[in-house]
Amino acid sequence: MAAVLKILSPGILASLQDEGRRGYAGFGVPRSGAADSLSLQLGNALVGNAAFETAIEFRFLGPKVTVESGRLRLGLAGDVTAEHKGADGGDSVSIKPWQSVTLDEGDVLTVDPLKNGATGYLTIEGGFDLAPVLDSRSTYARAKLGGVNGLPLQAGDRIPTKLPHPRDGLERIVSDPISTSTKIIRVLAGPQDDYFSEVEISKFTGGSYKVSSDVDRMGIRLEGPELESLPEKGSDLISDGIVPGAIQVPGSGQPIILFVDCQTIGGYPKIGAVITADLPLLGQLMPGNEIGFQLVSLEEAQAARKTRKSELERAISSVQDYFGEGVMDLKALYEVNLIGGVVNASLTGHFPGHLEGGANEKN
Amino acid sequence: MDIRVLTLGDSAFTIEFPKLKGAIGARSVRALRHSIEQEVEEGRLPGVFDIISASRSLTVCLNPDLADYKQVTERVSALAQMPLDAGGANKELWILPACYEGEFAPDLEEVAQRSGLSVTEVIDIHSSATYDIFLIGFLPGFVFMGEIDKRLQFPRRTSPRVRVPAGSVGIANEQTAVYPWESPGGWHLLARCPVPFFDSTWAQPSLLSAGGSVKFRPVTTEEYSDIKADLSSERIAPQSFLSREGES
Repeated sequence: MAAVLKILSPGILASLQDEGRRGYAGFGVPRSGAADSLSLQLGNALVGNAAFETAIEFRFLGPKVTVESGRLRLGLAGDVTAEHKGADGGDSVSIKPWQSVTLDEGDVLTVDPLKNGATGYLTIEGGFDLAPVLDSRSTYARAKLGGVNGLPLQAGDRIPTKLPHPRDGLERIVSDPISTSTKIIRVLAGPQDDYFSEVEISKFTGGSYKVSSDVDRMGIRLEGPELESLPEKGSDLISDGIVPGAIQVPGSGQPIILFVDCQTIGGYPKIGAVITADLPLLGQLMPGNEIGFQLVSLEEAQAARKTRKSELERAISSVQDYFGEGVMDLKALYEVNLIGGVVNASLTGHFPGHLEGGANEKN
Repeated sequence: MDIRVLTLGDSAFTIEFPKLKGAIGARSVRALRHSIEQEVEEGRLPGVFDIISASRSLTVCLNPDLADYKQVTERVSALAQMPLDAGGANKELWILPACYEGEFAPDLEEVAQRSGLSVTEVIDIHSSATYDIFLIGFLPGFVFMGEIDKRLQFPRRTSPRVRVPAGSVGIANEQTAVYPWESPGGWHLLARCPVPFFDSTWAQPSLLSAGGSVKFRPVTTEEYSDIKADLSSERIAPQSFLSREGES
């Protein structure tokens, strides 16, 4: 029987997200999907999943979960720490960012409030056993799509997973994670940059914008230099298509970055759109952060995307087995195996601090 | 035909017919959408995953790992300059019940006052016209229709409502629409329609499609409740409000 994850408390705006919905914008369906797709992909690599396997996404305040039946391994992705309390009532163990943790039946994992970012993920080894809605399990609550019954996660939700227990007894860690915090967001000008004079465009790129408290998956409102559109153009246009990352400037002159759950068309001029490489960074912007915008060319945007891809690949290749705090060094393990050729790393007792010794037998 | 290609980041662009609007704009957009969809189907535009229709423009979304931005832009621009064929005009006509009474019609009196008409006249004008469906977008299943009678044309409300109930029938500028979901909104609300417009389990998740047409049939509050109950107990199907089938 597959393991079941139960939500004890959902934290803030916890929802299930994957790569998002593609192919349905023509019906007015927003793309949705992970607010920080880099952290989602790396968090999935941490537990051996495909890059965009569905995970729990939370904003600012994390959830508290338990395992109702079976055992399962979770990955902490983003700047996420948690307390793991065993069902047997022993002391709780702190789990550091980018580590996996295995919960036995009745164990409780309490995710701490996020300190240095807006978005965190709990990835689940093997993934959740949920049917896709319009080809995606991403939650879009307004139209009750995806997730658990189309809703954000609620206390008491029981989510079935695909595996009865983890594939092995080893925990893993991303030893060299990717950084998704930033002060500079790169932008391609358009589609309505011609609504703004050069003076206004240089205000946009030269100024510093503060992330307001109005930040969610639909949009990120900014406070900074007001951008005035040309009087003959105004700030009302015949609505056209929008995508996550588009930066619209309403009559107030304060830009709004449209985000993953944004509507599909809009009637405000868009001075620019955030490049694909920098979209995941938007997911970590917190109220009060100061950011600046830098205009780039299409070629630079494409080069940035390749760089981002190789950064992610490098981080994924840094996932390694983790035997406990400061005790085991993977390189040393390989050397022992290389020289001796006889050490079985899965045997309990060979290495002090091998936390999961004997776990294989239980499977 | 005159077109403009507008950059929307490195994974989308908008192609605009700057001189068109209203029903003609909608028809050209529909025709271009049809030819892009055909190209995608025939595998000639790899990486294109979404096409967003607006009233005089289309936005093409592509996966930059699979598509060459410049090639796709050039190909779509070329398509837009070819003679456009709307591809078998959609003749669907939907007759949708709408209750123009009480709490379902919060802006009816204001619209009547501003237009110098009686409430009954506003209802007659709004419900006697047959509207072209321009496009679906903004929210899942949100249908933009038009054009409405000049006497009822007003800009959006200066302060949008935080909560517009699902099913609200609104007007703004030259268009009318039904809110398929509860959402914020700035349109003037004249009526409420009990028919669901979107369901992810339908083969086509949106009930209506661009190119068809809609007429509203005024119903009383009682009739509205009966229809709503019949729909939710599946005694009647939303598709039963289709009064004339499309020709393909």
